[in-house]
Amino acid sequence: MRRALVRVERFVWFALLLGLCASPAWADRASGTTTGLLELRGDYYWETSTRVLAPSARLRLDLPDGLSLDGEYLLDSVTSASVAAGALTDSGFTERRNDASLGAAYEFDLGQAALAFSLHGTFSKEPDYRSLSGSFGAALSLNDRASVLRFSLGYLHDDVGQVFRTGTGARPDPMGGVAGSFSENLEAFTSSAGLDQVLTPTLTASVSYDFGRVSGFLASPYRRLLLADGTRRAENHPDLRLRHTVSGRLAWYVRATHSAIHVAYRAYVDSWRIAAITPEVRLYQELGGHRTLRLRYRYYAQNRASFYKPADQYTADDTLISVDPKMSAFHSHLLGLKMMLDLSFLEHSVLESFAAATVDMNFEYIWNTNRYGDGVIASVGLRLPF
Amino acid sequence: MTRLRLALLALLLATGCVHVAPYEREDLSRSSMDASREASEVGFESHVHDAREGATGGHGSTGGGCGCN
Repeated sequence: MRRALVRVERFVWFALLLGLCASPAWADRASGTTTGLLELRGDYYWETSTRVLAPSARLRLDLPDGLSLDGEYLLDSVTSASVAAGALTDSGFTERRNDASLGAAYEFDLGQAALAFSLHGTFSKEPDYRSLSGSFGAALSLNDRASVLRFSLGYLHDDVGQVFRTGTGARPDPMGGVAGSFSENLEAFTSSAGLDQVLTPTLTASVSYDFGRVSGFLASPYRRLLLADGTRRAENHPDLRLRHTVSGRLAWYVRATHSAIHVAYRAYVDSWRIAAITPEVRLYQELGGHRTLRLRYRYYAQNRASFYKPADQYTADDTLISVDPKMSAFHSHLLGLKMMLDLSFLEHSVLESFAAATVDMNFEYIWNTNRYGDGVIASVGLRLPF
Repeated sequence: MTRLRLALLALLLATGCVHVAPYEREDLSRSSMDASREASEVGFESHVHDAREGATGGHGSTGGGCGCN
């Protein structure tokens, strides 16, 4: 039975490959026009002890021979008074993270099918952290792109350091040491597979599965716990984490009201015994006059990691210690409002080159039950196809 | 591994069950139906959520990448 199953499987794989190869000739790409997209964004995040300002610019070029190139630069400017971020006193500090990425993709046009490959690399640097990552992706489009199968593999290597801020240069605790003496690594392997499917003329569905293996130093180099006996302990998390995520999305266009409804759901579980759910609804309403309004609601809930306890319950016998609010059981609600305006009304004006652009403004509020407290996300963006 | 391959194969075959011709997809080409148009915004929001929640995934990230842990 098993052997027969294997034979059937091999035959179907062979037939599929043959079908792809026998598809009609490659599409004509002789128009010779290079198109692309320029995106400029300003994102902002606020919570009680942290503010993040993140301007970014992204450029994508689609060349006539099927090659796409893209590059992105992002500056994270973080102002924080959080001990977890390295502050030694109550006064805040600001640090900057520079993040640059480059990517290339090529699509083989196979008639009713298409096969695309992509490579992507990212480098990120901040005073106490350096990250280098790369990924490879493949996407197989079938049935005139009604079905798209996606696969990706990624690798990440981080160097974790420690910088003393707004203080004397030495941590005021027995774990402290001196600046520059802390050096750890973090590695991650990621893989994902997904399917995007057109179901009806107004309904699409997407499903995906992500797996991540993260190892190395997975705690914060700054967080400390004060035990009941007065001793201080550094945060210590397990050095391996296996993460599984299944997510899905349905998008439905309602012709009668010119609305689009997106319903998404994500289920997550990892080897630290954290399980989480994330349902989300987005409603896009076309308002006429080039405007679209988006309402968004997102709920998030998780249980605690197996080694997480309230701070006053840790004892000197505990080897795994966490002071990370992300490891606790909590939930959050996010409510957001976004307005998008397409600038097609600029046609036949002196600003005609911006007529294909859209601008958006977004505001979201997060009610969070853990120690981070409530948060705000706000952003403005310009999207200019050319 | 065999289960994974079979699941993959079933998924591939399932894509042939539905066919909506390109000329029937006018509504699907509207900007409100195209989630990829919001990729940059999703990138920042995912970064925020990754730094503040225990779960991740569904957008290509599985942790690491910055010191915002």
